[in-house]
Amino acid sequence: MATVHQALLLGSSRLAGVPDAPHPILAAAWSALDWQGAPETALLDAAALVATVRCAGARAGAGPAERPRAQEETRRVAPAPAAALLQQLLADEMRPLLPEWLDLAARAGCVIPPFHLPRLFREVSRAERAAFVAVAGVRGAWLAAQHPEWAWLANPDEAPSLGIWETGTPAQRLTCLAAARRVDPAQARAWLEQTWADETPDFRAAALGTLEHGLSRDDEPLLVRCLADRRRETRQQAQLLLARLPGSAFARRMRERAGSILTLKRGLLSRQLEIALPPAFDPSWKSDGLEEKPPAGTGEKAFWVQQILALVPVAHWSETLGLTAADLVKAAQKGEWGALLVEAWLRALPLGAPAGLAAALFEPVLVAPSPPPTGTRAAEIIGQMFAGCDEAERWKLTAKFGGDRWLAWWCVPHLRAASSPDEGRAVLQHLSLALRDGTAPGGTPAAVAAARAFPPDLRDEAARLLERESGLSKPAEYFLQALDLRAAMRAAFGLPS
Amino acid sequence: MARSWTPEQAASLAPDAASLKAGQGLSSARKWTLLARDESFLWGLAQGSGKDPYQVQIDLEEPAFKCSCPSRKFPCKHGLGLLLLYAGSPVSLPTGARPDWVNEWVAKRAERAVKKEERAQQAADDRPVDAAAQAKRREKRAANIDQGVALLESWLADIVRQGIAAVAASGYKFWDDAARRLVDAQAPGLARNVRVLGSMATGRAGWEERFAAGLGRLHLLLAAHRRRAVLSPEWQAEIDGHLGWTVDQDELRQRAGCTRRWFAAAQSMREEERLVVRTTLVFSEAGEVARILEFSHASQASASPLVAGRWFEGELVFFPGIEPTRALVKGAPRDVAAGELPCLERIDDILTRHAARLSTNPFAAESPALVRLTPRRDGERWLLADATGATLPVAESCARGWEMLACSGGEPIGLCGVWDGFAFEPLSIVEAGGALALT
Repeated sequence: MATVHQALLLGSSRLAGVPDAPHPILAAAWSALDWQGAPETALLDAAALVATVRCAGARAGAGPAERPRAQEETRRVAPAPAAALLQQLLADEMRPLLPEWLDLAARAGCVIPPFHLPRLFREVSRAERAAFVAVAGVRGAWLAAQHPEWAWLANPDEAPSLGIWETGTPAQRLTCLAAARRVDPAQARAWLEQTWADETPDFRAAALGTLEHGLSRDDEPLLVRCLADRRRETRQQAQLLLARLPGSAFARRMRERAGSILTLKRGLLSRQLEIALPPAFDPSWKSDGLEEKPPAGTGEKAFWVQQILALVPVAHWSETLGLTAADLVKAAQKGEWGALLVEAWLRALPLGAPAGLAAALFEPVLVAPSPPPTGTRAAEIIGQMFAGCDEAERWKLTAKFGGDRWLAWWCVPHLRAASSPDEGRAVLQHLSLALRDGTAPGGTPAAVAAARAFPPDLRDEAARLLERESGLSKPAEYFLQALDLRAAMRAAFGLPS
Repeated sequence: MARSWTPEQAASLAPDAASLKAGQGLSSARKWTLLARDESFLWGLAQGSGKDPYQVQIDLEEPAFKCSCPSRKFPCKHGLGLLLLYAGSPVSLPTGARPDWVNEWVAKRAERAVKKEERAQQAADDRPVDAAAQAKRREKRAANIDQGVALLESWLADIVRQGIAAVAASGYKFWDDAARRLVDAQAPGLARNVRVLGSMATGRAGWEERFAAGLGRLHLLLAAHRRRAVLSPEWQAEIDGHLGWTVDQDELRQRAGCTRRWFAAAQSMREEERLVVRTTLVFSEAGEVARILEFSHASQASASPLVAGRWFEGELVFFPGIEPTRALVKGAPRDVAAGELPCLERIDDILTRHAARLSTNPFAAESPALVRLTPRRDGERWLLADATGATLPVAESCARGWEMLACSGGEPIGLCGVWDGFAFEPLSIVEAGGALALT
């Protein structure tokens, strides 16, 4: 006969006979139930009986083998007020301040309270991993060893392995390749060459980009082959890398071509750079990946010249012409080809620039043109430019030009904390109008992110700048709250602000 | 000594997430133009959008809040901010003499307390007068409930006749309709039981065992109700409680309770019929357990003096019943130093205690317990193990297994939770100095 549970599933109307008592001990109680006269009631009585007996008689299970315990933590756990702030950071708009909490914890010699580790394991981005690993502590490592998806803790940069390279997702493979380049450039190149024919065009262009780490003459044959790739992005990537190898035949050819185009004319009072347009598209240019057809609206000769000039490091000109970056830009703007030269040099920035070039280009590229670049284009240009500047230079440029339109908003994400209140003050001025009126591009997230750049000491000054009749705007409120929170974090860790 | 608050305790008073966030925004000393405290009160001035700053004050003991802002939230963000500030950094509030506006409130509160006392006295004196009317209302409700019980009995019989496989597929409405009928019949306890039953009819692997247990227990309750007249007063009270009869709490307060040092180990909130029910599990050092339910309107949640992690001395009066766990706190609880947690360290002890409880009261479906066990991962499931290697399964509803493991580091940790004969549901991680919610 059936068990009580089977009988219940089936229903008493379909029940033939009495279900078995689950245990001999219940036999007497079982037979006392009215199975004939009222089978529903008997079944319900039986269910009650079984439930009570089952719950009262529950037995302990046998466990899986015990795992090794975590070793003693060597650093102190972050104090309670700091832990409370961590919870606040994870909860809402203040999330951009999380890396700072992690850094402060490291500076204070603390580790993350264990309770918060799982959530952080799940939530830190790839870029935040290193900061997290630094304060995950012994407990974090112990935990990571038990969770298959947290294994990255042991090597946050994902040490290169042939396994990942062969079987990973495209993103994992790129990370792996970049890491491999840092450790053993030749090995990484060999991996890439082996699978090159089977890669998708998108992946080829991206993979080629990783060769910038540990770039050497040994990469030249592969790069030269790529100049004939069917995809333009791949060809351009190869050009950029070859141009960065000063000894490469490609770089030499480009210098020669550019040399016949660009000349410096020295007058009595000033110097100016002049351009001699080539009469026709040289067939040899094509094998170096240069494009013949310009996009609509661009003259073809100017288009050729710009491509060539963009592939010669600007440092080359300051050496051969004996001019500083500032003088070069000045001389370029004297002639009729100023705009073309400035644009070409902006693109050549990553190839090697003389000191101060980014600073000299800032105004002609971002402020002078009409209409000036805006939005994402402006952000992109500033990103390129700031990549070639040191921190002090970035602050200086932002202070000088940030007041123009919203330029400061595109600059601030690239700034680390100001080194002095004075440095922060000028930039704060630039941001304050949009903050006060609540028109900051990017809204509250941008306001919180911007607050990372300023010393919390500027809080009261900022509050005065942002005040208005109708109360604080939302971005202004968050900006000030973020400054408060940063001050509170320092206090919680016992660090000076 | 002024009562101390941890940031977690203070945060748990927030009526909702938005208030908590706003309160956190105000938990910095810069937001205040005045901050001070004495032995039992905090006060401060917060600049709001109005011309005059808001006067914010807190009676730490209860806690009670007062703020001159127009917010209808309770506590408002200013009160919450002030308490959070105090919890995070008590030194930000220097000791000072109460200004007039604080004295005024203190006096008013004292006055109100006296009046309340008088009213209670008055009510007690008046009681005989409307006793007849009360008895009549009670009789009418009892008749209503009897009807509801009869309805439920035939409904259960129907389910059993058709087989529970058929009801596993019935949707929410099937259970909700039945529950509503029971609410109409003034038996909210039965309605709750039906809803719980509905939530078990998932059709997932192994559901029938738990569902059958729920069904059987509900049937047992109805059967007991039928025999009510021949049972002892304690049993009658036990059954009435499950049906949803309310107990006169004023009358309960007249009784002598047991005064102990209690630890508030876990707290949870649920919404029920437009009410917010806050359940707090408290344990004495000797291992006595009590469940304290506090009700407030969903639109206006009130602060509770019982915050998870707090040790307090208080007089608890247990509700009538068989080995009851539900209790109320008589008078104001007082802070005391942390004591020794009475954690069970052997799985067998947890099981035996629950079995003993069931043997005196089959309606005791769950045993709240403080345990000290080691969380372990077994494939996709969590277990709790004791030193002998014996284990209990962790309830599948527990979403914080990794947090438990992280805190344990492979060693036993203190947990407050509930054993229901099937699985252990962890509610909080407890240490002598506090509690971390796992829900």
